[in-house]
Amino acid sequence: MAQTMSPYKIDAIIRWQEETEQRTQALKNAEIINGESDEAYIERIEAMPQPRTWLEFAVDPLEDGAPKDPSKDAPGMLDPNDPLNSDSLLLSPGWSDVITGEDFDTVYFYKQSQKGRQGLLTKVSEGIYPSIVHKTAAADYVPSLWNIFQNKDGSRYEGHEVDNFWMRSLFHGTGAVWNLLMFTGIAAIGSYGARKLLENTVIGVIEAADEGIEEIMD
Amino acid sequence: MVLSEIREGIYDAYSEVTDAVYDTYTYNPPGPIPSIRWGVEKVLSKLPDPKDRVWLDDMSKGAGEVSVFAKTDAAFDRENFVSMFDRHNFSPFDGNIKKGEKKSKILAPFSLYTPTSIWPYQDRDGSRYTVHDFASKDIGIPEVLEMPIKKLMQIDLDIDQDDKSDWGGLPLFNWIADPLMGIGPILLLILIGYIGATLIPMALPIIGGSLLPF
Repeated sequence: MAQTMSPYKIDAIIRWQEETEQRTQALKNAEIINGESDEAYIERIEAMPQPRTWLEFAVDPLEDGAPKDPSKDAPGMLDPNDPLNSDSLLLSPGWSDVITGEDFDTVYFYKQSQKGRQGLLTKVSEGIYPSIVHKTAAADYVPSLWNIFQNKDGSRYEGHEVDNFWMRSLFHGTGAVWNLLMFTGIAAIGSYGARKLLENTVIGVIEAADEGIEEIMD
Repeated sequence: MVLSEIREGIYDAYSEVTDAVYDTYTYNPPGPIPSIRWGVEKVLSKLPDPKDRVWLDDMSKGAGEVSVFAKTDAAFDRENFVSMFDRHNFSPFDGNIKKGEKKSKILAPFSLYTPTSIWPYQDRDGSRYTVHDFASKDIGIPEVLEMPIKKLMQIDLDIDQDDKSDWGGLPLFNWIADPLMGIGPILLLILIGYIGATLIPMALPIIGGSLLPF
């Protein structure tokens, strides 16, 4: 199943998350200084370090510039010989390292590092599908809660552990059927719930308005 | 039990025949008479080598994880299939086979765009298995036949330069392999569509009485 990011990359992700939090917090806490005009305030806010995407961080962690040279055929078209790119994560050999399968210890460490950091939605999605695990075939999407295959040591039996290619494809094909059924089920339940909610809300509003009108008429 | 005995018998007979052929082919009799293999190789060496062919995967295309809902993020090696369609302008090609100056495109829409959640192929290292991986897989032609096939058919089957014939070297492989790989996911979608179209309307009235308000 899948591939887990290398500890090198996870360490970088955590540094990026910390940077994002600090910058977001700084922007949130910024206030107008006495005598400062609105334009000057906006200008000052825009000049402050802004949160970056994970890729922007990976290209240039120190924000000292990332010169490009497409002829060098390096990741991100970066110039590998330019000293300004020495901080780039993309050019580090550790960037493309991966651990085959979902590595329990690495995922556990990552989940612990995320405690108290995420919103509820992210927490739920990270709990089911940790973003440090690349899902590469259908069975990787089957949540552990519904997984029925297990190794003797208690770890999850993953697709890549099936030796025969065709059996592995069958394993993932079964996962694909499950995914489609799960998606269809969620969509059906969701639309039923949404319909009920809409129905109740609309009827409630109409009934309230109706009662109000009746009272006025009486 | 009987079946496995028959299978073993057939396998033994096949091995005996191939071993005998190989031994005869490579037998070096005493004296000045050379082996058949030596003679064949001598003749084949007179024939010109076919032009080298190289399978080139376009590294700017494709992602380890093709998502349906999640946003594209190159740092996570993830790309949303809709934004991928947009980025590649609906191009169904990924890479090419280079033969001298000539290049022939590789048709790979399924390997490129099929969302991971319904993609059934995976490599032993846990990565997404695409038509490019299939292409570099060795056919398993016996070593003694590699050279005769290459010279007589005038085709370079070794497209990954490891001195062994690969599936990707077969004629038209770059046009038909990916659609063949796409049959699996398409069949799955048809199956689910069929189940959805037939079973759900049948099941609805049963559930309807107890659960649904309509």
